Amino acid sequence: MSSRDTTGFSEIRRNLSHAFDRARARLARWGRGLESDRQRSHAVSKTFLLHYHAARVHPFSLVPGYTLGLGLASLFLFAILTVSGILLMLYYVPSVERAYASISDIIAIVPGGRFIRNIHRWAAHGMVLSVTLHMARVFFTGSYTLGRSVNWIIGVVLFLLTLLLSFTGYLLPWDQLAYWAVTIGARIAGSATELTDALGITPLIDPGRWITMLLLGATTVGQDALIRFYLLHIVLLPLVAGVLIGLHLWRIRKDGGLSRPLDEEANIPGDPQRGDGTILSWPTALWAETAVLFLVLGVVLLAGYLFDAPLLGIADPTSPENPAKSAWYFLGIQELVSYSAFSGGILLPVILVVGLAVIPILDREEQNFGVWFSGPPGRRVTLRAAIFAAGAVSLMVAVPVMFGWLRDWFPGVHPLLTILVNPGTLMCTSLLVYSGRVLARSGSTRLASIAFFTGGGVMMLLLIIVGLWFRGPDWQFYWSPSLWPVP
Amino acid sequence: MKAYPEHTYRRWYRSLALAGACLSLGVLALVAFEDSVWQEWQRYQSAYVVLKGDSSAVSFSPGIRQITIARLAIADRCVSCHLGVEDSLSTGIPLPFTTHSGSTLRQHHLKSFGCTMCHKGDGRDLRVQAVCNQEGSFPDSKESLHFVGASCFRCHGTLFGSASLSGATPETNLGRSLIGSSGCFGCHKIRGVGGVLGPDLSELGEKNRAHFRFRDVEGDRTIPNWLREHFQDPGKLSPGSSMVPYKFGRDSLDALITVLLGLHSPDLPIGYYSIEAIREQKGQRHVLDGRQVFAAVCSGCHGQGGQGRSYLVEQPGAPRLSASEFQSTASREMIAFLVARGRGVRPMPAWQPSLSGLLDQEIDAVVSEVRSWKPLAPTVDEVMQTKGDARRGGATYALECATCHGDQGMGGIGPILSSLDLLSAATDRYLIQTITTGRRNTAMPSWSHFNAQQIADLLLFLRSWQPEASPANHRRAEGGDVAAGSQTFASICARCHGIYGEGGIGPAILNSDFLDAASDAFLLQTLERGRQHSPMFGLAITPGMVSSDLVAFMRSMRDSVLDFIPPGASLGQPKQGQALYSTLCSDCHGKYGEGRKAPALNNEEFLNAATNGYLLATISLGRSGTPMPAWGRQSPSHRVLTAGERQDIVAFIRIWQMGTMRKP
Repeated sequence: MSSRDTTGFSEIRRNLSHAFDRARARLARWGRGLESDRQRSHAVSKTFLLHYHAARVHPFSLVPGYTLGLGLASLFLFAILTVSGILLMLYYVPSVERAYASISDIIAIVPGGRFIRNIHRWAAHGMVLSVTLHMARVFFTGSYTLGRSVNWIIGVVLFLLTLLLSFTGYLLPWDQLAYWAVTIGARIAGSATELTDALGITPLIDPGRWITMLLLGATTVGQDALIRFYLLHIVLLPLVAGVLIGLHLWRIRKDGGLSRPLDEEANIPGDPQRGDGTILSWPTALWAETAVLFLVLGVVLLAGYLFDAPLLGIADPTSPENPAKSAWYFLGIQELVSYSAFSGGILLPVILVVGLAVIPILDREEQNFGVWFSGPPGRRVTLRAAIFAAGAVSLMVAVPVMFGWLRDWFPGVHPLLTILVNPGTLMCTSLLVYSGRVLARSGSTRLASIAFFTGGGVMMLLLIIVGLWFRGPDWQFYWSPSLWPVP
Repeated sequence: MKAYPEHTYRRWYRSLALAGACLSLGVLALVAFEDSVWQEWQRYQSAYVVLKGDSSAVSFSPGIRQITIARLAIADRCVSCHLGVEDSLSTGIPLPFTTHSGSTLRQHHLKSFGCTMCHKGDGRDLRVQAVCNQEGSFPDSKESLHFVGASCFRCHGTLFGSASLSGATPETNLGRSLIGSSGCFGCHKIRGVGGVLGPDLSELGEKNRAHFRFRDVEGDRTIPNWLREHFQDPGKLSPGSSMVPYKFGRDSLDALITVLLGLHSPDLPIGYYSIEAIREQKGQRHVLDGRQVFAAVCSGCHGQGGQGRSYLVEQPGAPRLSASEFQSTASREMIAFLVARGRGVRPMPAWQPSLSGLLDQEIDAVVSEVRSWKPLAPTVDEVMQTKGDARRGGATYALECATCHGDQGMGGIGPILSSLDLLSAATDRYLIQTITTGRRNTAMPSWSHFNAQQIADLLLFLRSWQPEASPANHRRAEGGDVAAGSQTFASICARCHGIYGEGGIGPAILNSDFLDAASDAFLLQTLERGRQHSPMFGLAITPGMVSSDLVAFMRSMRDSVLDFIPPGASLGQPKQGQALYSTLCSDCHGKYGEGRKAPALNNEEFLNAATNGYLLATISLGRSGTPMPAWGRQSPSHRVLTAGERQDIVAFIRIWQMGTMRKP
């Protein structure tokens, strides 16, 4: 100790004053702009909030037309939903006696409550839309091959989770809209009973009832369902979604970053010292992502300010809404269910979802990876499949509206026949046949899967439009709501 | 795809990010501003402070105000804008700050009642648009003040009882009296009282718009308007309804609707209700008298004065209870049976207490009320003091009596009147009393609508068949043995007069109508001498002993009451009756008696209530005011049916009776 010319206490004092300087310098480092590549690399990889991001990205990540920022938009919408959801949780009470009143209070009394609730609702709709578009983008750029098939399947699961999150949240306000939409959804889920009834085996085995009990905790939507949906909506589904999102993003990095055409030359020069053609993420790529964040945030906030989320009267189990429509993303399925409960509720959705999931298994063509529509032939197939699907849907919707269906022509027809032969199954069968034809004539699995995806997507879109705008009381066809009969 | 150098992208994205950030911050700032100082209610509160002047600006603390009643889950925030509602000094300033009108708040403190209990709507919402244009909640705002009396009625109102109650308004009083006099309870159950043809109205005030069909409503699509139009044309708004249209004036209609909208289930804590309302909820209601029961329950179908509804105009019609033929032929027993049991599958419900909510004494009262429409007969003394004219009596006889008693009094459906045995045994008092009260279980109606002159004429005409008057006979039957008389009756008399004395080949004799009219002398003389030209034989026995047993037995059975209504004598042939029925009656009464343009005859309750005599009398005399002809009288439109034919038809109608119903 005597060899040192400072005491222990002065050392403490010195370290303290230097600490302030060190902190200031560290902060200043961020603001000044990072000069060396090492600094820029460390800015990403050594910061907790950004470490998930790759330190180097391919220059194509900057070109907006490849990915349109849809995946990012979905992620940011998820974050907005989480934040606004937590704020709403401060006041919401998941009890059938108090739920509606708590939402009314949020709207009427809580400062900013109306705004937060609107944000939450519009961000939810926006997220469903953006994950759908994101899935379409990934598909049409063929970005599910080259080892990205696992990520595709994770993406499909995330898509389903998004729909489920929206569905479970739909019930929470406990108003007429919520109650009847979820009643319809639960009936769709329990529609296996139609099949077991047609086969006459319901007394022995009734999976429809089992699913309904699992979903609702009772046979009708009530307090049990509300608690379950609340639990799913705020804990289980977000947790699973969060884990899967993490996995999804991690896999992007492991699969080589955002997808892009393999052999197209970019005019953005890569780093000459690196042979892989990548550039540092800091700052441009991160600016791109920040732009997406603030644009999404801005749009959602504006929508929340300008448009109010709907709230009808308190849920009244004795007076059904007519028509009782589920949320818009389920209206396509509800339209299919109107033809046959089992085929529209379980059979066809399962086929469609399984079909989505197995696309990367069945189609392993790797050329034209990252190219929109995989080139001109793909563009043609897309257009033709879209037209075909539009025609098939129009026909299959118009025929029952104008002429009725099996039960109207043959009153004693067996229910199994209606389950198997109805506009929904015919549309899907024609889609499969069409895709098969494309496969046979072109010999390309990619083109066939483009035909299937486009046809299916256009089909669901048109069915949603029909269910949204052209269905009135008793699910009858009306050209406009002004023609609906007054109840 | 064209690509740009990196710094170009950097500039784009930085600008976009900045634009987005500005937009977000702008919106957030806007929201922060609006939600802290620019709310609608805040603007109202500032306006209030300005109106009230500087003195109150100091003491006024801005903020959301609410009235919470936790146990009713009420949180009424109306007072955030309706600031002067409890302030008596605010009478001069305009809405929404003005004082509450009237003195209602003095007894209905806001902190116990809130606002929405009386004014309905959603009290939690603070936005004017939302509160005043409630979809799905009642009442619609335009008429909510007009019908606010419904909320008074909800706690203060009783349906049965005196009008001068606390909390009564002129509208609710008028509405109550209208409900009580329009026959509503005939089809609708309200608070446990009433029929079942229409829906139960006890919770009408709780229904929201979704429970009504507005498709065919012509005016505003509100619940009060639906009710208005429903009264005017029920079939249009409720297809398939058999409710008759009601023509009320505008104010009466609104008063009635006010009361209807106040009908709620008793879901508030008991302290909110008036004592009378609590009593009525618990079933201790005011007892109605016969006239009130008829007005409240029966008049809707049977008409205010019992005039009925024509079967030709309305389907179904309702019988004409005030018709003189009905009143003279239907016994009180029959009326009581039908009121209590109803008419089964027909619209007439059973009004037994367990089914209708009426009390026993109310049912008795309404039966008495219906019975009271029978004209009071002239007294025997009155008739005896009137001088009669035999010729006029003969005309009356030919018109009214000959259909059953035969042209020369030789009998047919009724006994032989020209029998010397009868005329010598019967006193004037006996004849007059029989004419005015009729004879139960026979086709002899009670001719109480005859006046004293007509009866005196008839009496003289009847006596004209007796060559010389018989001396007065005041024999009494002394010391008869009832048990022995009962045995004799059962073994000898019952074969013709029925085991209950209800009649068969011979007339019904064990009933008060006969026994009150017949003196002992009459009975003894008839028993001993028999009745000439009829199957009644005289008992060739030692006079004095056994006949007085029989008389004693008969007198002992004066008050006997059976637990069913025996049909009485039925001497016709069903097969002949069927042929006659299908030719003459089925057009109106239906091929199987199911009723088309006339009441149903195959109805079990009706057949168990009606005696054969009732049926015979109705067929013979018809029913004035309805298309039912008098088949026993001459008429240009139909032929006269003989007594035998009429009895055949009655025998055929009896076939539709499947069993015996006990009196309820």
